[in-house]
Amino acid sequence: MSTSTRNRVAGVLLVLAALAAGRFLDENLPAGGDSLRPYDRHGLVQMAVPTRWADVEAVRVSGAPQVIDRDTLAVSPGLWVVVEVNATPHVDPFTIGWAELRGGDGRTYSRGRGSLLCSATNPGLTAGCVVTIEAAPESLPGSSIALSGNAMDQRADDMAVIDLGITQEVVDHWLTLTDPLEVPLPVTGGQP
Amino acid sequence: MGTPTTPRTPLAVVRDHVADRSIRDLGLGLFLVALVVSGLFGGWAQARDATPGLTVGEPVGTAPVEITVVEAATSMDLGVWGFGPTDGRYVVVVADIRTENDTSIPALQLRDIMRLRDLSGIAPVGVSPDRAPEDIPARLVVAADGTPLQDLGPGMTYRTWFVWQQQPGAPEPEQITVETYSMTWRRSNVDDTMRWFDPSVTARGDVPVTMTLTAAAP
Repeated sequence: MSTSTRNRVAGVLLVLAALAAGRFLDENLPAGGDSLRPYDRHGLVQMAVPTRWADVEAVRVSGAPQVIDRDTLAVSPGLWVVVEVNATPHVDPFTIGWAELRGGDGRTYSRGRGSLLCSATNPGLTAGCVVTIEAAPESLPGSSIALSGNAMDQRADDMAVIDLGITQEVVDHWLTLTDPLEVPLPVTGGQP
Repeated sequence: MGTPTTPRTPLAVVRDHVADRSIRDLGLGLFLVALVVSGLFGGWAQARDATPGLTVGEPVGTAPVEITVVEAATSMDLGVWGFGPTDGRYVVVVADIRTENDTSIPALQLRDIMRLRDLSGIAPVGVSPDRAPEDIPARLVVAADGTPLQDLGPGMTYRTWFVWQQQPGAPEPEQITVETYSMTWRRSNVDDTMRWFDPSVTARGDVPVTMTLTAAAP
């Protein structure tokens, strides 16, 4: 084998080795989605959950198959869950921007047709927020609501994860309700 | 007595045979091989459409959404927000949809689970006017309350109106060809997030069109 051929083969082998090393590092260094996961800050209803962006407290949880949300009737094939939350921002003039429901059975529900409204606020002033999410009744016992301050990107930041305290008895009661539940409006200074 | 020759390998035989052939002969040879091989699998004949049939009232279990077509109807006014009186015509496929996925199916992906075939005059509402009629997605409405269906949460069956709009003057259909689609859960090549991609047909069938929308919520 001539010197130039040997050099060419060595070059190709070096390129292949560099590609393999890059692939190995990409798959094994903690630089993927895991390293950017949100930091879950757990809490219970009527308990303030401190996060980087706000102190968050779920003050009331209710539910029904139908809700009236700002004069619009919404009928769920499952159940609507209505969560009233107070949040006192630390740094920005806004509070909760994103919510999802994490079922007790491991299923996750995005807000979908539901709503998320917060009153106007400034750092240090408590805002009232109201979140509605629909979910299958069997997912609700043991479920939590996850709340983030950023509507677009929840990665690498604190997330309040609040156990809603919903039991099977509560779900059975909500399923019997025939009148639509009126969704409250968010209140400046916090939900009453 | 000559010296014994080393037996030649099959590769060497082929190489010697090919080496003194013209490009024309080689091309012809390749064409004949392709013809013979393809002949074993049916040649150039039109491939049979193996798409399963779609039957009204029978669920099509596609990933990630199970779809049961209930009926099809036309209307000039659906009487819900965003679908008031029109000079053209609304063409509605009523279907029950459900997912057993662990997470909600985003609204953007739900638009790709059903299409109409060969319906003339579909208006490209909310999409580019250059889009082919068979690629125009429906707008989805929850039958129970007339609100737009957003993400589809797991474990709940929504009776849903899949609504297309026909332009004024387009002929009213007596039946429409409905296709259901499945998708694949994979990583995006663009932003590395996991999403539903690559819609592919899972069932196709003709559905008679009624003059009035009768299907209520399940």
